[in-house]
Amino acid sequence: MTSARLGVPDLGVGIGLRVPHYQRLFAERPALDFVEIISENFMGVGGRPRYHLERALETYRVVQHGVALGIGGPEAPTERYLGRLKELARVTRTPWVSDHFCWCGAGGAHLHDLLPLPFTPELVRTVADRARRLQDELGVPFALENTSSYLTYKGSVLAEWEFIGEIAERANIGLLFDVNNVFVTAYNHGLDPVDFVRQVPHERIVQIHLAGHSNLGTHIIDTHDRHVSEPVWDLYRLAIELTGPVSTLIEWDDQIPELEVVLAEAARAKVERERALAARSAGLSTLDDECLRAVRDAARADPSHKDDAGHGMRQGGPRESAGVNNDAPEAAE
Amino acid sequence: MTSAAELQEELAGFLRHTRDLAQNEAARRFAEAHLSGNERLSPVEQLEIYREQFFLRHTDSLVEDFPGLGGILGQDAWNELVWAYLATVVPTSYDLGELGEGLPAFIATRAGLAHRDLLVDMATLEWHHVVVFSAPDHPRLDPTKLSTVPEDAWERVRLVTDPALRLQRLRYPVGALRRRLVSAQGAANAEPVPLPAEAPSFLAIHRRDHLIQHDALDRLAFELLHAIASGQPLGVACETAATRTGVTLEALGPWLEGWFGDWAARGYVVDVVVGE
Repeated sequence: MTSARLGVPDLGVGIGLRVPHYQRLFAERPALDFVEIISENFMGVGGRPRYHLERALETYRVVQHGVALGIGGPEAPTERYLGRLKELARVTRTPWVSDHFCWCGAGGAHLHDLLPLPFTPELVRTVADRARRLQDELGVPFALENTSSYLTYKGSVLAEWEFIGEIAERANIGLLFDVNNVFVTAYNHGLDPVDFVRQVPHERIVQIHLAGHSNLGTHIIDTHDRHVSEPVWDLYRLAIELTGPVSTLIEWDDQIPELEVVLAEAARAKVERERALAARSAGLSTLDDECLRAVRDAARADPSHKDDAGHGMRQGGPRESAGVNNDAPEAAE
Repeated sequence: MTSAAELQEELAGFLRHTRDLAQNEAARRFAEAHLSGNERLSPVEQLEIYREQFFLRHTDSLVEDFPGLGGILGQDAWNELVWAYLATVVPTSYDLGELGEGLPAFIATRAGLAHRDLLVDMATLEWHHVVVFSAPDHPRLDPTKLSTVPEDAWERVRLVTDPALRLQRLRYPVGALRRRLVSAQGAANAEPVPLPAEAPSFLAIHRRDHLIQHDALDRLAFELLHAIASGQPLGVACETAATRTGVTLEALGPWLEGWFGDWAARGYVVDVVVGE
């Protein structure tokens, strides 16, 4: 672990804690720098979810990541939500809490999605104000993540990196920089992913997310259902070279493979991270012009491309109840 | 100029539409006015990506939580019901698990459903499963607390029930049906599961050691436990149970000690509060 930035330590490389891995993870306890939980799966609950959380806390450093705060929505997050989030942070002793630059609903509806925000000064003020107050209330560092997006607003007047950088600066919070989301968004909206990674305020980055995506040709969906793509590994090294050592997480939320596959992906992240850090120390880069050109080319939309569609955006993976038979075998009636 | 909040409220409304937004004139106009689109996807096609994902995500959640309902209805009728529900009931909680709370009431009033009472029973049972699965943990009843209750205070005592306990009056034996349907869903070439005849019963649905138990209760015990769980002091709860079942309080008396011992042992009752 190296020195903290914005009060957030570099924990190394971790994986998302997901239901299909519980049995082996808690039996075999493989070495992991940290695990990340989806906050909402463990807020205000007992029973099996709470039991599994306690098993995870016995062995691993647990970091909280949320998918339902909706910090940029028309309505501020509810007291019920915030109270439960704070209580969970007390239980997990998470070194930081994160969520997304997004909105999740309006008019009282919660749509359980990470909807993109218009990049406007109005929303910079709203989100920064809420994020600053939330960080004060939580008593631990807070970070927000750039999302994948499938639409853009005519009313946006800032570049995405300006929008998120300005909020982070005003609120004095961290950035959770999702490099796969950069690639997805760049592909979907004709942006230069290399430029995106270079422009974001690196001194604010406190964690990086990596995941796989599904390319449907006309657009990419952030499915988290496969290996990290090669151009995203390249962008990851670029981000580390520019940022320095920050905690990195492998997200695999759908079509979840055996534990060793996810652990192997985390092992690769360690290798890529070390390569990038070594280059950074030497004042060099692991990405030459040809490599950067290849990343830009890969992010250029190709409607003839078609991955297996995958299921869709399953942010945060299966729910704690999914696929678990909790019924007693000899139930009487 | 449209504010961010106005834009978001209008956009959120379109995401809950049940049909492809490309066919929806209002959605097309909204998208053309506010979204950029690109050379591959028109503005309304970009919006449609999110609408489709809304239905995928919420449908998945209901399918996971209500396997018995799906088993009774069959794929087509279940899909139709889920879509009608999602078009009617607005999800308001951050917790996707709460999405199905209104499903029993929705089924109870939905026109044209065969086996409606059976479906309502099943939906209610499966909603109880969702609640009981992750209800907060509560320590077991401390037996020494019972000995501190003064003899003359028992009528005023409130027994606190476990947050992981739910009670249900059944018209059909849906617990057994659910087990058969779930097991048939996981089996290749499973025989169709016959639907049961009406057979009223009383059930406690309770989580013990992380497993959800179905415990059959007789009617008198059920009515008493139900009254206790609703917060009535013990004396009032006994009167309620006696009135509902037509027995006298004197007839109820001999059963109480055995029931309380059983309920404490099972973990239904987790605390005792002496009222004023």
